[in-house]
Amino acid sequence: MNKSTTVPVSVHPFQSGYLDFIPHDRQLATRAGPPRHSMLGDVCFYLQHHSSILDLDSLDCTSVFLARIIASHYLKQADYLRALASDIAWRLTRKDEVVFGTRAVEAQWSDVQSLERRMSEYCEALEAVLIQLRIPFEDPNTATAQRWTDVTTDFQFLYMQFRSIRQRVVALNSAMTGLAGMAGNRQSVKEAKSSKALTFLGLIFIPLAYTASLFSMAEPYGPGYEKFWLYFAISFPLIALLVGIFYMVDTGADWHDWPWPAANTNSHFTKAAKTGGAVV
Amino acid sequence: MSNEYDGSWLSVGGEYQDLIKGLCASDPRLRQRDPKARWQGIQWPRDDSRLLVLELEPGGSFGSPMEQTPLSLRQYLEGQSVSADPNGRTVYVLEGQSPEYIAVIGSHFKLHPSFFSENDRTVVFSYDPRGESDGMVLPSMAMTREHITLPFFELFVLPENIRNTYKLYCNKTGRHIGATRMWRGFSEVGILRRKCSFWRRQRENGKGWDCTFVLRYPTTTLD
Repeated sequence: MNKSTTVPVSVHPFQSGYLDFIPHDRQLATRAGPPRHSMLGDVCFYLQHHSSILDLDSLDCTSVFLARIIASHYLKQADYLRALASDIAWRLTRKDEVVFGTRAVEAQWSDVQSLERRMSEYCEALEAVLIQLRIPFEDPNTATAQRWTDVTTDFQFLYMQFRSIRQRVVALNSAMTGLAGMAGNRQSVKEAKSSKALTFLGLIFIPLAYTASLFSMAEPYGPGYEKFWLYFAISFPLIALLVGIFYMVDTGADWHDWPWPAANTNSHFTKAAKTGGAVV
Repeated sequence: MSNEYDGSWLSVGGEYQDLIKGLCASDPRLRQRDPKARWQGIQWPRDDSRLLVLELEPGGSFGSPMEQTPLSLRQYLEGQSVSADPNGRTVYVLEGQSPEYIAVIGSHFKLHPSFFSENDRTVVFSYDPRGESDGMVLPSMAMTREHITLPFFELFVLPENIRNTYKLYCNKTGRHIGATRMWRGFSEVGILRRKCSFWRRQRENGKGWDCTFVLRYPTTTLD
């Protein structure tokens, strides 16, 4: 395996870490919180400082700390992911923020795909937690939560939150696919305009070349001879005629009523557009 | 450490390693270490695992953690076997796993080795026919087990000089760290995959119990 560079890191929890989940009266009495630099440190902190509020006769009492630390991490993660989804959605509502460059849109589409894949993974991880803690896959009923040690409502709430965020990301993914389509259309229009400009240039130079070859530009029509003016007298009206025809054809294609084939009123799509019906 | 696919990687030789080998037929995941960790060159066994023991004091709080080496832990547990208080409560917290600690704790409490192997898995998904996945257990199975392994994710601030790649891994465990790119820029936040395992058992003839946490190392170096 190619080992990459090893980088020492000093871990700073996201937004200073999770909220202490101990009841407020205990927090006020203790005036201390978990160190948040390692799970070992956090577990030992809660065992040493707050185990007296557990029902120590219960076999699963210490797992309450573990489950609540994990739930608190999931909650911070949900905050982050919700903010991320909101930021993407917000930028899509600001046209000036949207980049229509094909590469940029493709990168963004790929990023949202990645986010959607990871949202599925996060939901599956939460399902694994629910199964092992024997918590029903139901929506939470906060009215039934009686004790602070009850993690059932917490995890059901988290599962609901993550599913909700996943739905938002799925919707964003569809929006990104639409944006990719818009960017593709823009690209097509841009290329069509370039072709049009080239065509226009051709319309100018083709009559010149045609007229020149017609008269072979030899005596008496060549440069410096008495009938050289005929070259311009024929070329310029020919240019004007061709440009005029080009203009009529080009603008006519945008008129629904224009009887050119490109916008034929009898065409399949034009009929559907006029009636507001679906194209069958 | 043996490379044979017989489960011997998980524990040093002895009674517990024999138990693991015997259980490979029940749980094929025990046969080999996570192939992804091997492919990543993650060191195994490590010599910086830590085990802390916390005992419940008369006041209802746990006392200061006592760090134990595999040898001292064995002596401690042998002492507990002779004179354990049936109403005592003891917590063992293992940070990082090593075959020596696994052999001592596993053989003393007669733990199912999947307790350790599930925590070790770092692979997210795999369709390699010779690989391993980190799949779930059937819900009905979860009811019969004495342990749980809970996956979760920890968010932390990535150092500025490495906020430009998706290929980030914890140097000690090989856990992947999810980087997020949005609007052509990488987020400052890394999402670290983590797991915690918890086992507990009631003591005979009393209200006391023993429990063990298996935790992963904190992230201090990235690849």
